[in-house]
Amino acid sequence: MLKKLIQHEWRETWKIPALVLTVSVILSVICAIYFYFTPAPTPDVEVNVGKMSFFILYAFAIAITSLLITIYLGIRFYKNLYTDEGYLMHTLPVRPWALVLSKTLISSLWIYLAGILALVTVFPVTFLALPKMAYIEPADLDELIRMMTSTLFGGRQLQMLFFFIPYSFASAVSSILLVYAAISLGQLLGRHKVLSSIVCYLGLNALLSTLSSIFLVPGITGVVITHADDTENFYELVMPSLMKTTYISSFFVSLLLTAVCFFLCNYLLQKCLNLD
Amino acid sequence: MNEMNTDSLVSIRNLTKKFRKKTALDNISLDLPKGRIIGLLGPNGSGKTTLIKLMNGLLVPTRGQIVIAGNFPGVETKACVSYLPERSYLPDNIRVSQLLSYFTDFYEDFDRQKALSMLDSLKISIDSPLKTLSKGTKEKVQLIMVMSRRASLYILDEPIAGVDPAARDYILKTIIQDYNEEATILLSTHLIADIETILDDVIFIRDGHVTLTSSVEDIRTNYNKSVDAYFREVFAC
Amino acid sequence: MPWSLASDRPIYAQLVERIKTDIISGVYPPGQRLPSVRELAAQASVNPNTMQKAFAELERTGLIITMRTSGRIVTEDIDMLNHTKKELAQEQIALFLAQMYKLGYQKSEIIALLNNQEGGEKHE
Repeated sequence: MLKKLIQHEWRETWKIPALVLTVSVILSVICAIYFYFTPAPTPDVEVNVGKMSFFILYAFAIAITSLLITIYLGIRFYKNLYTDEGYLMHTLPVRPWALVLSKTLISSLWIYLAGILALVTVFPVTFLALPKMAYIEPADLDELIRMMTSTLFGGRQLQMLFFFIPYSFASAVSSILLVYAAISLGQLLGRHKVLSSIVCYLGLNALLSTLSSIFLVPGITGVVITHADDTENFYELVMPSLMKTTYISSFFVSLLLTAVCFFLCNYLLQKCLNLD
Repeated sequence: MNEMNTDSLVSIRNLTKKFRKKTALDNISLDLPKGRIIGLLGPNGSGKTTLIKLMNGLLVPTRGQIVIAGNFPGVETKACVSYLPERSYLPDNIRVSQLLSYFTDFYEDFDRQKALSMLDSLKISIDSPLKTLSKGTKEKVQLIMVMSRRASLYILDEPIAGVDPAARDYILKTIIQDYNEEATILLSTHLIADIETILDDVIFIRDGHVTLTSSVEDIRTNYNKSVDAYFREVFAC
Repeated sequence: MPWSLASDRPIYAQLVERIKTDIISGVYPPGQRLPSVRELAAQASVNPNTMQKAFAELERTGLIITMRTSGRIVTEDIDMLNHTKKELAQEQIALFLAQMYKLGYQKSEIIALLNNQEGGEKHE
């Protein structure tokens, strides 16, 4: 039954996310082509405002793809389980956890894909765009790129990738489950169910950031103390170490969040379902 | 109902459902026997749909319990209860064929051939997107899906409300012809005159209370009037 | 077309009458196979259990017979058919007379009226 739920969920939801991701890839290609062929500014130009704005717009567009997909999948969850369509879904002989799981798997796959795609498109475009937006000495450019890659991956790309892949998947799963849990909680609160869902989401999010900062503090403090004298090797040692700590602690926060939200959704669907 | 308690398919005990301050169902107890067509009759807002949604697990009871074929509402009952809600639950963005595959995939008792031939007899193409169908056609599609299951309990909520007379005849005919003989049909309506000849038994419900359970023939024999006329008398304002 | 049924009497009794009339008037001739309970119930738009009850009543009186292989057939016993026909006629006459008495006619006046009725050459 779970397999069939997943198949149906996929068939009914793939179009919009696929469209959004296709558009973002097309945008990236256009930007890459544009920045590749556009001439670099002469040394006397500090910043080319036009190109800079263009790049910022592009980065913004890519940044909101995940958001758009998450919103779409959230609405889909709400419509499919808590409006008229719920009359079909909740009378299928399947357990509530199977409904939540099938939707979570498909949705997190899309969000994960959006994240990966953003990463593999934004970086090349950024490297192409940087020297075209402002005049940068070639040596400085190398330094800049090194800075950025170490921030994200540290000098040891492979090792960081090892942390990054499970981390980003866990965070995709937990981010959509947070939306699902907020929607499910919102159903308990009276007439304005959509509004209460949004309030619940904001509330849960605030709670989550507070918790994860608390969770992060010991790790980061540890890194800072260990590397207090390492000002020389900031990008080589301190940043990777910080990122690694962040990835690991966020990973556990995500796992915790996933478990809590999943059980919450399941419980609410099983014990508190009151379909209008 | 003469057959009460023997061969009971559904047994409802002390069922109460409150929505905030409003009590929609107040301490209801009922038994539905096997192999009967039972009308759940009552004015709008009397608690018919609430009872039906509770039986289908779309609401959770405030108190009391429902047992259908030995189980509380859940996966086991959903596999043997075929439910037609009073509203259309069909998602707009799918085709009739996808709806068919929903029923084929999830309900083991779904007779796909039967559904196909019924759709065919109404000249409804399975490639039609649901959003292109008229309201009446959508209702028929939904009824065809529901009646093509070999369920032990059919729960039909207002199946003839707001349809034209021809469609009503089609719907009643489909109900009579296609349910299996062991099965029970629970059918809610406020349009009693249209439907009473197909009923074995009636349950009158008012303000969340069951006010009468009887067989149709008993009402006609004892009061010399139709259920409809009797209903109007009982529920006269 | 659903059968039109009076609202103030048990449905099953009306089904019995209707099927009897159909048999006498030749809709279902002697020896003919009858539609199944469910078919006829759907056609009449009545409950199959009620139709079943009507069939059982007709079987009890011997007007229809259940065959092991070919379902239910109309009896070929002409005497019984004639008897039923007469019964139905008597019922109609009783109803008619009751109405006429209500209007204040005496039996002899009614017979006179019947004789004067156009096409009323036939005598009892």
